[in-house]
Amino acid sequence: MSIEIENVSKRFGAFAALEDVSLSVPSGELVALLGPSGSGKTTLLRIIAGLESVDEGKVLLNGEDASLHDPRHRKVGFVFQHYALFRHMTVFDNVAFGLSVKPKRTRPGKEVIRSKVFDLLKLIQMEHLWDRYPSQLSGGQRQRVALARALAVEPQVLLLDEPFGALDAKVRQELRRWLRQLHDEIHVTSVFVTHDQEEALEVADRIVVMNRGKVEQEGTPSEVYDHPANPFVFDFLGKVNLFHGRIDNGVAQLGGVRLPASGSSSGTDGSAVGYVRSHDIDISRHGSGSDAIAAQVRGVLRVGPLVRVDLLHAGGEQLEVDLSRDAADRLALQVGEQVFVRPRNVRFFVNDYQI
Amino acid sequence: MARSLKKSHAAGWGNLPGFAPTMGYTLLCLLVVVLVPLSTLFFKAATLTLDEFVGAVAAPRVLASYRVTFGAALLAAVTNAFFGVIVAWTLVRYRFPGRRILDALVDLPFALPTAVAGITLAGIFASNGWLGKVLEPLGVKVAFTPVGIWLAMVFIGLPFVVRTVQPVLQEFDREAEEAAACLGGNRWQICTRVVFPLMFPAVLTGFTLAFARAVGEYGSIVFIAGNMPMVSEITPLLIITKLEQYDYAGATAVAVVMLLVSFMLLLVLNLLQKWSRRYAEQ
Amino acid sequence: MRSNDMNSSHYPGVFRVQKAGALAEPLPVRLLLVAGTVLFLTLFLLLPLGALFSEALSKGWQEYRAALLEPDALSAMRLTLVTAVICVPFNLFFGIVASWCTAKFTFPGKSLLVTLIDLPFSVSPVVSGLVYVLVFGQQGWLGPWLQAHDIKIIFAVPGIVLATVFVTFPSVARELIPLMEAQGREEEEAALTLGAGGLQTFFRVTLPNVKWGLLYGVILCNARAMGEFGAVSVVSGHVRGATNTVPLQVEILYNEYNFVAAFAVASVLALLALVSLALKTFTEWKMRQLQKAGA
Repeated sequence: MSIEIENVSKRFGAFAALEDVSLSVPSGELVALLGPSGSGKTTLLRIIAGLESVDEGKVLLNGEDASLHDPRHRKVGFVFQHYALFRHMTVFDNVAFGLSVKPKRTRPGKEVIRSKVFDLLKLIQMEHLWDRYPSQLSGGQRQRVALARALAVEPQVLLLDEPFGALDAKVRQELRRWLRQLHDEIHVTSVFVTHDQEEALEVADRIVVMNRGKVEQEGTPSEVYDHPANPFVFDFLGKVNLFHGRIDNGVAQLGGVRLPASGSSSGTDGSAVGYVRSHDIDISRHGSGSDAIAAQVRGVLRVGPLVRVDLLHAGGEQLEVDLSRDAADRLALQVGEQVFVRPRNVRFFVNDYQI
Repeated sequence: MARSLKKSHAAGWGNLPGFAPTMGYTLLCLLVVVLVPLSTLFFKAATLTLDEFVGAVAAPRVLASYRVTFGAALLAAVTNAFFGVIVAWTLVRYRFPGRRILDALVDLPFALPTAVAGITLAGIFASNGWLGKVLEPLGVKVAFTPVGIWLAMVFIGLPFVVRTVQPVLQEFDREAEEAAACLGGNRWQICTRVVFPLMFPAVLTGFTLAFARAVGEYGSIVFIAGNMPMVSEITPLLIITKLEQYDYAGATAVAVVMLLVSFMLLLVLNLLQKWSRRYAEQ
Repeated sequence: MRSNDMNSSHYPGVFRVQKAGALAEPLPVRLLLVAGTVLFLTLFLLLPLGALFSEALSKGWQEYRAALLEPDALSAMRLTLVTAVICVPFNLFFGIVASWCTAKFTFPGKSLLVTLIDLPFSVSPVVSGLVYVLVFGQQGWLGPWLQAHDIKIIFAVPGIVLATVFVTFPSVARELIPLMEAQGREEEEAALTLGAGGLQTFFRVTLPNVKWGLLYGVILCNARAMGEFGAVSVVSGHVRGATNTVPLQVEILYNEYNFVAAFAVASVLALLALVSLALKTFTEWKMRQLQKAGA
């Protein structure tokens, strides 16, 4: 089932949670709503589910106005951030709930419910824990039960609110991969909310970046990561270094280095800011003022598979560069040493983005 | 809890079903059972002229009853605040035989019908009662004096301070005390500067609740009070006396005063509640 | 049975010798506090209970039985039961309905509404009784109309029931509202997205989560309904064998200097209070278990 959001606005008192948001999710895709807290992503999710009403605009599910249906008839599965499992019911009863509350005419028989629930429990690898209560489960297990419960009613749309937010790092990694595989198997249109860009990049088919109640950019993971539409998206999707400079006749001047300003977001000349990812900077001991920027090494830190180098460049600004271990070992940088940096894949934005 | 409150705030109105019918029924019941009947009190009082009203609520006998009622209630609330804190502290912080029984019994004054409490207390402190026998030869007369009123008020107000302070002490973060100890505080300093300030709003709330309950109390007091006009007659009894003399207007006027006092205390309690939550995480 | 026993290791036993540091009071202080508590509670709680039962049984079981089986006493018990049977379900239903709309929704004026629901607990019982006399009494608002239609409310059973409903009005609601607020809305929302209807959601998700709080409210409501004295005393008219509830019967017997009978009848109410306390302690314990399990 496809989802269309058309010019939706929602206010809570004086706070504008969503401002004129439009979005379309094609059938069968797995979409991430990515943004900082307060960006309106959870509100949007709850509006799709019918848990909130819209002030303005429309939600279309499969081309049909969803406001005609209250949440119980929308055929959406919702997985809550804190799972919202029924604490007085066993795992089995939780998963069976949606089937057992169907009107008598459409309710499947006891045996059908039973086999269906156990199929789902098998899917989440928890059939041996069917008689446990939620309080006896770990966070990851609760999460999977919540998912199975939502899937039991065969929803047309699966909505997940910060599905991995409350889990520790390792379980989170596993469940992420599992969710991706699950989606590849059952192909139900899914939308999940997250504030973790890695999670969005790894799991989603498409990413919707939100900020302050608006959609900043929408696209595939590589589109939003490699071609961010604006400074906010650039900054939110990874570490970023800023170079202040000028653009004249399509050529950017950054601290003595001249670069073609092809990535400029506007064709006008004037002061501009170059945005560079931390892994898009080369460091070398040799260079001249015209092809590289002089900088001083302030610190070298090994962080897992990467080595982070803190630098202060001639313009007086801090830089953070990620090197592979190999590259770092070859350079063997010393703190206090003078080096040259060369930015690659620079994106120019005319206005400085304030975080 | 903080999470769910925050959640509900963030979620705004939500879309659960049944708001209109349940709200309608709630307001209807509230109106029919509580608000309309209470408002008759004011309508009835409004039929009096100002002079009549003042005459009714400020007659010497009525003034004396205020003095007895509010004075005894205040003393009883102070007594309860003092012992209530000790009881709550002991029940939460120490383990000793019989603790659970005592803890459960603290609510007895809530559960015991007031008339039963009244005749029991009167029986104990009468001159041939268990304690009256001991006290009277010493020259201490409790039953049928204002002291008896105070005593009955202490009894019915007992649970309030204990039950408001207890949860605060239970949820009290031992880590704050441990932090204070690590910073070099001694026991007395920790108690006076860390524990007591956090307990204080609860004590004040319990005090006000006990006072409010004592002011309106009737059943447990009339049996032990002696009910001598000007000396040991409480205001609720005076209302009943006026009623029995078919002085509806007079009874209503005094009742209005009592009701206004209740409203004021309710307001104080609401403010106290806000104040005691001022450190709560949003 | 109240405090969080899972933490009991944090708190020192009084008699256990342990290093008196900045985290515990010195032993003499601890002993003094415990002694003060035990003394105070014994004087105000245990002693009255003891005196009550000893007085009731002072002339032996025979007299005790006779006092309870006396026709006026039996009719008073019947009236008290009738009152409770009407009053408790009414306030139970109101409590459930009111807590649903106040705890599961956000709306302006919510705290005012909760305060108003709580109001009858703050009003002196005597004033509560008076209010109903002013509405339904001979000189009251509806008095002339009622008289014309030969309906008697004040100094009759309906008046007693009405006054009791008033004084116990908040009992269930005030227990349920904070409990349901603390549980949040997510489970109900989950049920809704799974296709459950409003009533299904309430009976299968909300109610099981608050059932112990509900029972607790019902116990308190019942205890108050059966024991109410001040308000009922104003509207009853004290007609023996007709409009006397058990507490009023106690008063009459006491004022007639029939102390043994008065205390015997009172002891029934006291037993009821003790049973209520035991049930209350049990439900509180249950609720804590659930809370612990849910945490």
